[in-house]
Amino acid sequence: MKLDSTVNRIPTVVRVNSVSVGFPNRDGMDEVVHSISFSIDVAERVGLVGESGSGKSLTSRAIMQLVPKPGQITSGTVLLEERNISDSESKIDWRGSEIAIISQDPLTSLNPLVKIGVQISEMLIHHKGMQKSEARIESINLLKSVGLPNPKRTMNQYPNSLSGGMRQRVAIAIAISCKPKLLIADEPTTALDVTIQSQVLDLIESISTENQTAVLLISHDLAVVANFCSRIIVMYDGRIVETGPVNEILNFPKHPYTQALIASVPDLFDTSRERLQTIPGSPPIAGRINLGCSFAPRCTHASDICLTHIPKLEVSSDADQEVACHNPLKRVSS
Amino acid sequence: MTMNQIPLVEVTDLKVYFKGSAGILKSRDIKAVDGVSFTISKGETLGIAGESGSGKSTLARSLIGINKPTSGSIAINGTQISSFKNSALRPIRKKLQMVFQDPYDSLDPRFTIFESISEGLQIRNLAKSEIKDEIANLLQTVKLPVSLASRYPKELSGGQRQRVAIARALATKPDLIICDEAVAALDVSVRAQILNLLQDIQQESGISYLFISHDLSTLRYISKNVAIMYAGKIVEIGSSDNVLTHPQHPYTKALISAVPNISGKRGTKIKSVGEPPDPANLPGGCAFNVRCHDVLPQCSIETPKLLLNLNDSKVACHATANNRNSDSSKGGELHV
Repeated sequence: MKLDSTVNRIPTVVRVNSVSVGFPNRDGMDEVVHSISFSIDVAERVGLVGESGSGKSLTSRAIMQLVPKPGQITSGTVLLEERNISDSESKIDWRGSEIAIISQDPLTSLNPLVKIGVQISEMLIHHKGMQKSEARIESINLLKSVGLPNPKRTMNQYPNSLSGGMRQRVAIAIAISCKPKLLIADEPTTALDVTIQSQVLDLIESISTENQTAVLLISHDLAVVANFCSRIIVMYDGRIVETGPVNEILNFPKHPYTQALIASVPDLFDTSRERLQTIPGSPPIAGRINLGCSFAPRCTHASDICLTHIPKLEVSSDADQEVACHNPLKRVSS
Repeated sequence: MTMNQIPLVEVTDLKVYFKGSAGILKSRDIKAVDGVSFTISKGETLGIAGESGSGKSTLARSLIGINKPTSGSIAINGTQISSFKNSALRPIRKKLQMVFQDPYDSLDPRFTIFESISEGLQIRNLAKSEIKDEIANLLQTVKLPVSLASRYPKELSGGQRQRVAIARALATKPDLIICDEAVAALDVSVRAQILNLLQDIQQESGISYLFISHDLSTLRYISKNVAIMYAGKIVEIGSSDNVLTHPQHPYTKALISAVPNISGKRGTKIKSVGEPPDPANLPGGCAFNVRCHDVLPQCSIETPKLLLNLNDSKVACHATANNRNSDSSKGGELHV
């Protein structure tokens, strides 16, 4: 950690150290997230990409120390600015105020029986010790800052009277109410229409720049991440298989899975109508024990060692890019 | 679309209205589909794009008779079906099949895959032995192992379930399959498999698709022609190359610029303000006028007609029509 902060001039906000998440089964634990490590710098926007079951949402829940029961963090620590927040003691004061989360469907994260105004104010009253009247004024400002056309009216409305895009704006207002250091956005636009999606992403982007808030954007959609983040983490079957700057990952992927994932997305501006590349088979079921690389059965580059040894995430010859593969792809110079 | 050939599907000025909740004075109709016309030829794919509430699903459902049209006509192979009663629809319905977004909802969880697919085969009056062979054939067509026939939906992955849904749709030997967000719920890598499968089936059997999706990139890949819907109307329709590469309607432009692109570069970004309108309370004139950048005075008064453009796509926009009139020296079929 000390080592790293001397290398990186930008200070780290959150550091995830070998975190594993498991669910109890009859004879022990099914591990679904396997010893994940990464860190996020101040004001950095990081994308966490993976298919269903890859463990991306569990990873974000692990940072919040909110792994759904009966799942639990089986090992590892999470540091928030050098502070270990995996200890059960200090939970309440950082959650929501220093690390906040926006979920896919704000209808499930907002309380349907409580007015919007009360839901925002309670954050400010609880975490910042504001008076009710003070919190009300601040709440109206927050709703205005997320682009709600009539904040005073919205204060007295219930979540069900707002559209999906408006609800997500309210959820963002609540999340940024205490100026968190890290904003976790878990598929924040998946349930929204395209034009609304771009509005919401623009909003999160401007908040991140203005408040110097780091963002961890979790998405299955590479295109969304490509436009929003500076760094990408690709997960497969509970492991990080590749990480690096967004341009490197998208233009020169080293892991065959990353490459296949990119090639299987149709491009709106591709007029060639070339047949889409596909990955044979389907994503593995989480929790199964693999001897080797869990992508090996679907991989066109797999060799014998892939079936027997799990590859470690290692820094590749190109700076900043890390890949967990026995046969990483060579960078093709064009 | 040629004159000497009857299109497989011909929809003319289709309107589907729903009774809105009664207000104090009178109830207001929800115009889910409002004057839509298009054709689909044999072996072709028409993609329909639009945001939620634009009427794309209602349109699909009215084609197979789930939603009764308020007015307008639907012709399948030249036969008018919009006025048919349910019993008369039956023989035509088996030529039209539908694949839904979530195959877990559309497959009966208590039926084995065999039972699910054989339901569709019963209409064809096959003998028991023939049914078995045909199911093996169908599973092969969708590239599933025949051994899967005895399994239940919950034992299959999402991609496998969607393949079963396609096999079941193919069982009645349809001319048209309506895919309503059929790949939206699938993982990226599996989505590409299903899109390729649908293309393979089309190449082999000459089947037509009506492919509904909110994802323009998917539509670009799968469909020859594409229609953009907004508030129950088609605002732009034409070949996908024309519409998606050279969009004319301000809404199409805004939609395309909002699509995140994997290459990380977005074209000139058009910020679309506001949200899709409430279908029960549409703005007057062109429904897009309140969000439009190129809005003219007449846009809030007069609804623009869908007119042929210079590059063979049709656009419903006053501003585009004005531009085109001003350079009429280039010729082209113009309206009166």
